[in-house]
Amino acid sequence: MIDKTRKHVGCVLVLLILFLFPSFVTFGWAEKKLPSPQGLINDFAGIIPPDYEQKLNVLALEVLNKTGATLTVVTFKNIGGANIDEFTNQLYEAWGVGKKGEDRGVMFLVALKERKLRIEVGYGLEGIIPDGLAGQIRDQAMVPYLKKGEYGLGLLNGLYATASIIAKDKGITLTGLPPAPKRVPSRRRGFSFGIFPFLFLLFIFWILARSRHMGIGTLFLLLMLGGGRGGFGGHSGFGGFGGGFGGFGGGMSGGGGASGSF
Amino acid sequence: MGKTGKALGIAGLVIVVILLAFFFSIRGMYNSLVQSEEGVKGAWAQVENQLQRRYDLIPNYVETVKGYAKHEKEVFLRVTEARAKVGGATNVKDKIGANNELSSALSRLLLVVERYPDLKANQNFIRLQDELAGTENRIAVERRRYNEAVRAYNVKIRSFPTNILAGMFGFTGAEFFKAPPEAKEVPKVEFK
Repeated sequence: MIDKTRKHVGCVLVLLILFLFPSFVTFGWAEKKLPSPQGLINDFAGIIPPDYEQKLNVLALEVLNKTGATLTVVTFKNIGGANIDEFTNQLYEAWGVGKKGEDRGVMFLVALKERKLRIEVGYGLEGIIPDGLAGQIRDQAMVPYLKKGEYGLGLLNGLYATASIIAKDKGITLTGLPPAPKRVPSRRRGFSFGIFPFLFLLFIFWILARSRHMGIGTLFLLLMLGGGRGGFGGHSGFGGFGGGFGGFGGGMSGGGGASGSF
Repeated sequence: MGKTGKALGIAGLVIVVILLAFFFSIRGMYNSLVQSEEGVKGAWAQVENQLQRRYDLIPNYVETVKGYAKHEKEVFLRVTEARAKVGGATNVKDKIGANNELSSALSRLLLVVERYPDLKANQNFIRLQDELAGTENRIAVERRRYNEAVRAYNVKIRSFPTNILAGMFGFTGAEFFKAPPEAKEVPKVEFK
């Protein structure tokens, strides 16, 4: 008899909580169909020769280690005819180039089929790389080479020009020599940390459920979930990377920089 | 005594838990409304920064173009007038309207520029053109973020059960920043 009433109370509680915490029902986030970063240099189009890719990597790593600024290169075979300005900004935001709040990052994006180039400058570097200067880098260091199909050289020149500005601002010099041979670790696979709090909650729920306090157990679980932001790290973008390799830590860009055709 | 006492205890506990849950859910909803509203305000401030940046950039740009294209008085006048209107706008709605007018005046000016190859080769002008294109892009970015914030806020205000709270505490919807179709052409300047 008492068992039955308990069950009923449990059911009522579940319904009540579902009503009170609608966020539980609508849980989940919209995922955009954007690729994940493979490192600082992401040659998705396969147009950068290996030796240049090596040089780009070394330079970008040196800048990251010495100045804390993230220079990242992305190439695409095509971007589906999208507006390169919008596309780059959204990719920048999705990857979180630079540290959150500092936003010191620059993304160089090449769309091969569209024959477009964009240099996107994060909020934190807008002061030292105004749009006019980004345009100058594009015109003098990059476009002439990209036009000839020398993508590796064009990107390296652009990266180098940008790196020099950042280094000068910080009052350091770049050696351009490889530091300690550092391989960019590949992205961690399998479980990301985001799932552990969830498993922990499930565990508590399981214990409570086993001890026949089903109603309270459910209530507890739903309270935690209904709390929304708790546990899941909802806003940290894709959640998975950040610990994997340096340079992508939730930085933002406001659309500064320059773009053009080649 | 034992059994009824236990049942009463459980009932009391259940009531306390329900009341607590109710309180926390109301608090959560109210706070999330406040947070969304602040989000909209913050996003608008960013939009205004960029609009101001464009406002400041225009005189320099127009002066440079004037040096090469003296006869395009009508276009210059339109830009100057639209800019003055932006300066006079006070509320969000007027600011959006005035800035959209300025955007279309500027897009006319950019078309005019295309006819002057000497101007387009001028280094100073190239720099200004980049600054203007960059600013237009920044406006587009902040406008998108602002509209996202407005959409999230408006949905919250209108959906059940937050709408009850929103009504009680006087949260009203925010205005979208819709760009006119012509203005979209501005950032798409071709660089040769």
